[in-house]
Amino acid sequence: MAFIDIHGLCKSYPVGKGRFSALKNVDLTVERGEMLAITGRSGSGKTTLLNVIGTLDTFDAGTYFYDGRDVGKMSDGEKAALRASEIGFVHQDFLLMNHRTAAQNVAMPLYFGKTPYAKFGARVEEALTAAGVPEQAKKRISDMSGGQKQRVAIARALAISPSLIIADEPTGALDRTTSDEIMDLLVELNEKDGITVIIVTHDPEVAARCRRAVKISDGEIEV
Amino acid sequence: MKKFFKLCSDFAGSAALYIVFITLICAVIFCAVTLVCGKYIYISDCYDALADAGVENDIYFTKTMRSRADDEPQLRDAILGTDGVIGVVAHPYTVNNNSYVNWTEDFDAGASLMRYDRELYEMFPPELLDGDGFDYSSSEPECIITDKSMKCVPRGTRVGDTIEIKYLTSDRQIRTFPIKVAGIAAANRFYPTMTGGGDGSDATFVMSQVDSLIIKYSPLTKDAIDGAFGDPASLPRYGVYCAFIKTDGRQIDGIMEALAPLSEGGRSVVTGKTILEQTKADMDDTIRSYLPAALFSAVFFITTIVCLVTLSVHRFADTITLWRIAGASRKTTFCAVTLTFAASIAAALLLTYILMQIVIGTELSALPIFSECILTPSAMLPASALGIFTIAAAAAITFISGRGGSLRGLFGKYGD
Repeated sequence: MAFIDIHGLCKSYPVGKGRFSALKNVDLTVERGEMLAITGRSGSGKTTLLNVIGTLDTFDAGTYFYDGRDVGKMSDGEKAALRASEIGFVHQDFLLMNHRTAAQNVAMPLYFGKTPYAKFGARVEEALTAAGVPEQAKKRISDMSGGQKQRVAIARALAISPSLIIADEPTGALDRTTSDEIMDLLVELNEKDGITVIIVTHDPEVAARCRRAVKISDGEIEV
Repeated sequence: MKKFFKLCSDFAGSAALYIVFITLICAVIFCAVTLVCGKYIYISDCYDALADAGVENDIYFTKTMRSRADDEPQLRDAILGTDGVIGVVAHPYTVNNNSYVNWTEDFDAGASLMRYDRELYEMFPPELLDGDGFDYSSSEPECIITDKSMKCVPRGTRVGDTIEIKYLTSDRQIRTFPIKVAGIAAANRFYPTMTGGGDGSDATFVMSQVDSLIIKYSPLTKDAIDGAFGDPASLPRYGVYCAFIKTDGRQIDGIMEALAPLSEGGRSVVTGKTILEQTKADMDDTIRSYLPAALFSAVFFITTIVCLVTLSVHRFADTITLWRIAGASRKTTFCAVTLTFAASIAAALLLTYILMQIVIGTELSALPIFSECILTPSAMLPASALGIFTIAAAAAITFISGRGGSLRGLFGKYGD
C-alpha cells in the first residue's frame, strides 16, 4: 500500500439549500519520499484535498489510508495526534503568531507531540538551522520579511521531524527569487531527508520543481 | 492542561487589543444598563412589595396643599367631606425622638414611628416648597410602612407596648420587626399650625380613621417644632398640608379634582396616585421618551462589539488553524476559544461590579447620573443577558457571513 492511498474520495459543502461538491471520486496515491504538486485553478478543490490529506478536514465518502492507517476511522483526537507527530504544514499566509518570536513559533507543535520540554530548545535550533534561519530565533515574526517568515513556517513544520510536509501555495506571497529559495529548501528536504512533500500550487514553475504533478479540476483529478 | 492554557493565552495574545476593547465596551454597557435597570427594578419591586402588603390601592399621596393656618380646619373638613375620602392623616410627621414632642399615652390611635430608610428617603425626597418652614438637611429622614393588619397603631396601643412593624427593606422586601412603642402622637402635635389646639382631639378624629398608611417623612426643623411648642407667635404663617388620604376604593383622581380648588396660590393638588405608581409611570414615560435614543445607542454599541468580536474571531481563526495544524484537536481548540471569550465577558462583569462598588462607596454616588439611578448587583442580570446576546450575535454573524474561515473548521466545515 502506498504511503498515501486515497480512493473514491468525495467531499461536499452545504451551499444555501443545496450542496457543493468540492471533491468528486478522487483517487490519488503518493509514495513515501515522493514530491508531488497538485495544481488547478482557484476553487477547483485542491486546498480541500490538501486539508483532507492533512486530516484537518473530514470527507463524506471514499477511503483514505495514511501509511496503512485508515484515516476515515480515526477520531478527532487520533487525527490531531497524527498531525502533531507526522505532518508538517506550510501555508501561503505563513500562519505564524506575529507577537511571538521565531523560536516560540517553531516550538509550538512540540507542545502537542511527545518531545520532552527539556529538548524543545535543541529541536527548535535544529529546525531553524535546517530552514536556514538560525540567527532569527529571537526575532519577532512581525519584524521579519516574507521569505524569513516562510522559512520559519518550514522550520515549524520540521520541528516534529515529519514524514509528510503539506504546503499550500508556499510561494504565493513571495517574489520570484525568494520563491526559488523556498522551493530549493523544500526540494532539499525531500531529496536529502526523504520527507514526502505535497505542494498545492497554481504556479507552473513551482509544479515543475516537483517530481510529479497532478491537476485537479472541478473536484476531479485529471488523468 | 498546560497545553490548554497555553492555547488560551495564545488566543488572547493574538487578539489582545480586541479583547481589551470588548471588555471595556462591555463594562460600559453593563454599567449603563445596570444604572437604568437598577432604578426600574427598584421601583417595580417597591410597587410589588406594596401590592404584596395590600396597600397599593389604599394609600394616596398628595403633594402640598397649602393653606393659611386659619383655614386649615376648613381644609381638613373639606377633604374629609369629599366624597370617597374616609380618612386623612394630617401631617405625616412622626418621630422616634420624643424630645421633639409631648407624648400622650392614652390616645386610642395614632401614627407612630420609625424606620430609618435612607435609600427610600433618597429615592422619594420630601416634596416641600420654598418658604414652608422645613429644612431638608437638619432632620433625619424616616419612613414607615404599615399594612392593614397592623391598622397603623392598633386601638388601645399604649406606650411601652410591643408591636410588629412591617417595613420595606433596602433590598425591597417586606419584613417585620418588633418595636416598642415610644409614643403615640396626636396630629396637631405634629403639626402645630393645623389647629393651634393642644388637646389632641383633632388628631384623635383624624388618626383613628386611618387603617393603614405610608408615612413619607416631611421633616420639620427642630426650631419650628420648638417654636410651635414654645412660642405660638413663632408658628409659621402657612402650613403645608401634606396628606395621605385613604379612600374607600374610588378613583383618587376624582377626589383630587374635588380637592383642587382648596389649594391656594396656584399650588394645586397633584393627581393622586401612589407614590410608587406615579414614579413607575414617570419612569415608563421617561423610558418611552428616551427609547429612540436608547435604541440608537444600543444598536451602536452592539454593532461596535459585534465588529470587534468578529474581527477578533478572524484573528482567532488564524490562530485556530495554526494550532490545529500543530496538532490541537477540535475539542481542545473550541474549549480554549470559548473560555477566552467567556473570560473577557466575565472580566467585563467583574470590572462593572467593582466600578459599582466604588461608586456606591464614595461620594460619586451623589453625582446626578448615579443619584438618579440605583446601582444593584441584581440589575446586572439584564446587562449580562445583553452581553451574552451580543457575543452570540457576533458569533452568528461570523458564521453566517461564511467568513469564519478556520473557525468553521471547529465544526467540521473547514476549507473550501
